[in-house]
Amino acid sequence: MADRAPSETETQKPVAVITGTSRGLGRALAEHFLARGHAVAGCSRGEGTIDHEAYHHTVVDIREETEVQAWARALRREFGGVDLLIGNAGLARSALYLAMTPGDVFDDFLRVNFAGVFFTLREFSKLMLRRPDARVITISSTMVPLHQEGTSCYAATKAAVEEMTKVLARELAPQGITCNVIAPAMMDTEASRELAKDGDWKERMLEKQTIPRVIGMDEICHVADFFVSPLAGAVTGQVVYVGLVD
Amino acid sequence: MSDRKKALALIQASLDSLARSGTIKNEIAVDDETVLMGSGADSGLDSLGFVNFVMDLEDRLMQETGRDCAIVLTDIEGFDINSPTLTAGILADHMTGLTG
Ligand SMILES: NC(=O)c1ccc[n+]([C@@H]2O[C@H](COP(=O)([O-])OP(=O)(O)OC[C@H]3O[C@@H](n4cnc5c(N)ncnc54)[C@H](OP(=O)(O)O)[C@@H]3O)[C@@H](O)[C@H]2O)c1
Repeated sequence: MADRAPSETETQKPVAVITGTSRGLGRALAEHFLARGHAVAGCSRGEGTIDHEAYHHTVVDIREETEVQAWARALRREFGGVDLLIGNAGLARSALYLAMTPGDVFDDFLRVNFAGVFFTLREFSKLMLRRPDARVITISSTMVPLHQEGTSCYAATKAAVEEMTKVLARELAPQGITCNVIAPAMMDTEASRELAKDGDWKERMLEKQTIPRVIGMDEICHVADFFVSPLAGAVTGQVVYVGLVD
Repeated sequence: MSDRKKALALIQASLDSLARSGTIKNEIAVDDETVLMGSGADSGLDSLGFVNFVMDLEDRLMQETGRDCAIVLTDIEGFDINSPTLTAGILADHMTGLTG
């Protein structure tokens, strides 16, 4: 489970839970909120890659309900509650046409991008109920409004995440908790580099974006900062597409 | 928790604290038949209030027993997810079994 118990000063800090922090966007978000003074609890299936006194890594596969539950229980014991949840971990692979997509690829997308986000939201939103101004952020993609060929499973699961976040936004509004979605266009991560190995995929995708360049992770962190700010308390159930006019 | 009376007392304490915080409007005296969830619920808990109640109760159980305690509705004997009704008595039985 978690690598070590938080120190007393850490339990005074706002607590951010971020999934998929070993690389890519999740890692950038974790480092960003550590720099902003949060204690960050992150997870991935592999070992943690962030070395910071206020960072706590737990090996969790978000596809496994019981692993997410055990992680949430441990954080509840150690920190008492959660102020910020970012459901980032996701699978972005395969650009196969629907007619060619194997069932196990479909299952993978469902398990990681949909079920995994559901388990995460369910377990951690409960730990936010007594935290004033708590925030939930999920990560979608501009592939949802683009209806891009080859993204049937990926985009469908991201559309599901957007809808789930909006419903949760309504459910948690009485508690003062906002829930919003950041949907980036292409970023430079291991996942997108893997997809870009396929011929001119990167160029074709960039052409479809309104801002036809790779989006920086600092730009995504900036959107997260906006959602987290106390003045954004009335902004909930929104999807911000970064790099695309929907 | 081997003592069922104690379980009912924890339910009472939890509802009292939710009444104090304004999550529910009125204080209620809990007995076995008090309907916590479902049609005609006496508790005055809406859905989010019920989640708050369960979280609060889990915290109290943890304090009481020194162990992690998760109240999972579908694990409660006699609880039907399609027609969800939960009385304090049924919940107290479940708590007793959970920690006993
Ligand atoms: N890259 C893009 O261009 C782009 C664009 C739009 C949206 N997005 C979205 O942004 C998010 C992050 O993408 P990324 O490009 O940063 O991906 P990435 O480089 O592949 O990183 C994914 C992270 O999630 C973790 N992870 C994957 N499956 C997991 C599981 N089942 N349980 C726990 N952790 C898991 C990975 O670690 P382990 O492998 O060790 O588990 C890793 O830390 C995703 O939701 C993605 O859909 C990405």
